[in-house]
Amino acid sequence: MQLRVKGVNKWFAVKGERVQVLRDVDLEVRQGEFLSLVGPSGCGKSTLLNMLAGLDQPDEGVLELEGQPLRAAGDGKVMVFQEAALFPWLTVQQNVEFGLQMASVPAAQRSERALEHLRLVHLSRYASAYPHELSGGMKQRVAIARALVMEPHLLLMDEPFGALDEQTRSVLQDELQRIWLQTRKTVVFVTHSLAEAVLLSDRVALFSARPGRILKVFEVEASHPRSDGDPNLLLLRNEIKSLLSDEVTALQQKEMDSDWTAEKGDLPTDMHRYLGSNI
Amino acid sequence: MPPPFLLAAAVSLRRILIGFGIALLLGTSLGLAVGRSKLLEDTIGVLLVGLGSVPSVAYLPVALVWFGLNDRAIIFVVVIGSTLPIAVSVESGVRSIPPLLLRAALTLGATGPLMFRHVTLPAIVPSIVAGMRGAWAFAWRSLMAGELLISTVGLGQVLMRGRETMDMSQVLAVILIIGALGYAVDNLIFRKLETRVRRKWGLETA
Repeated sequence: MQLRVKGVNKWFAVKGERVQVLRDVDLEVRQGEFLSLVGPSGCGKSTLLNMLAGLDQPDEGVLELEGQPLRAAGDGKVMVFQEAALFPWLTVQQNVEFGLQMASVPAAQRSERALEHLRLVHLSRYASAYPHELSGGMKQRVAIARALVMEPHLLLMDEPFGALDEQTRSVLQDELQRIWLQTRKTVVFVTHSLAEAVLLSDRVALFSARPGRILKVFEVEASHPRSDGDPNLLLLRNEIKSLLSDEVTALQQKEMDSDWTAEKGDLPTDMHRYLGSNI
Repeated sequence: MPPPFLLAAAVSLRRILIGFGIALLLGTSLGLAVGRSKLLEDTIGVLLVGLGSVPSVAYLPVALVWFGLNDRAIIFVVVIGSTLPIAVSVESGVRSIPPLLLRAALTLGATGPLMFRHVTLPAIVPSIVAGMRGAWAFAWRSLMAGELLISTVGLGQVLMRGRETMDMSQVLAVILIIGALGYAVDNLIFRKLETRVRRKWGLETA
């Protein structure tokens, strides 16, 4: 077992009030596992990811990597954000080399490793381009290469495809799946999309509405490489969805008038209606 | 012997370049310090804009007392006049570095001096260049003010001599030379530099 989160609590000050965002979160991430965190917005899943990255600290509880308390940012944990966050003054290759340069890797080795990872994301032709010359999807590929080149113990992804259009998103999901199969990094992945979560993950952890705690961890039992239309994935997705919609209702009732409810029953979420079509 | 106005122009250019160079270093450091520290922002930061409205000539008496009637007094006035515009621009540049970029750099292992050298400094290059362009005009004004009041070799002195001899053509010629020099430096150096930086960053299309 590689990464352990134990009894984590976190509060934020919102307009002078203390709001609890995470409550008693316990989670274990295995070596080489792809784990997704899903939940209603504001449930603290991104906060948890930031803590794993060392960008934020828990108020209570412990985070351990390989049995050691988690150290500051950097140091084997790399994060990919929703925006590519590339440095606009560096070329694509220099962006990928950035982390290696911080770690004082010699220039020749740096460039070799950067090019190798640019090939992995199919962007070696753009090594000398500047970020503004790339499309959103290409920028995100560079961001992934920039993270992977560090050979991290832990790859953290915060809705990395959230800002992309549907087609690009789907292509990048397939690529990420391929890259993960090839490298077998431990990945913790935050997403809003259940389809994305079940497609990519070994396990999916569902968070409750704020204060976020883990409601249930689902095992995704399907072999890789997976495709979007896999009926097993669809069933699991619907199972998570019905649990999630209860949470969303709870959240909306807190934010809106208390008589608000999610309309249920119109969506074909009940597997018994299919009478075998998913066999 | 080169014509006297060329000599004067060379002397004036030397002063402004020295003064501007010092102002560039001072202004960038000041802007960085104020942009990065909450304490300095609350103290010096509020003064930056206010002090900027004091014409640099107002410091001439100070310069005369400190340095006497010489080059250094004029350079001092140039430095005072052009430091603040650079500092103000750099400060806002530091403040507008996207936090996401800093967080990305942190997770890639950039800390302390590494972060400063490889993220903060390159990130404020467009602000430095923009500040330089603005400060260049201030530097010229300060230089002329100083040269008119302290009579040494220089364009300001040629201008004043024209006034003394009632030679209006000389006065107008010097004004044209000053304008041409300012324009040339702005257009040939600063604008090119700015366009290059902005293109590289994708802030401007080629």
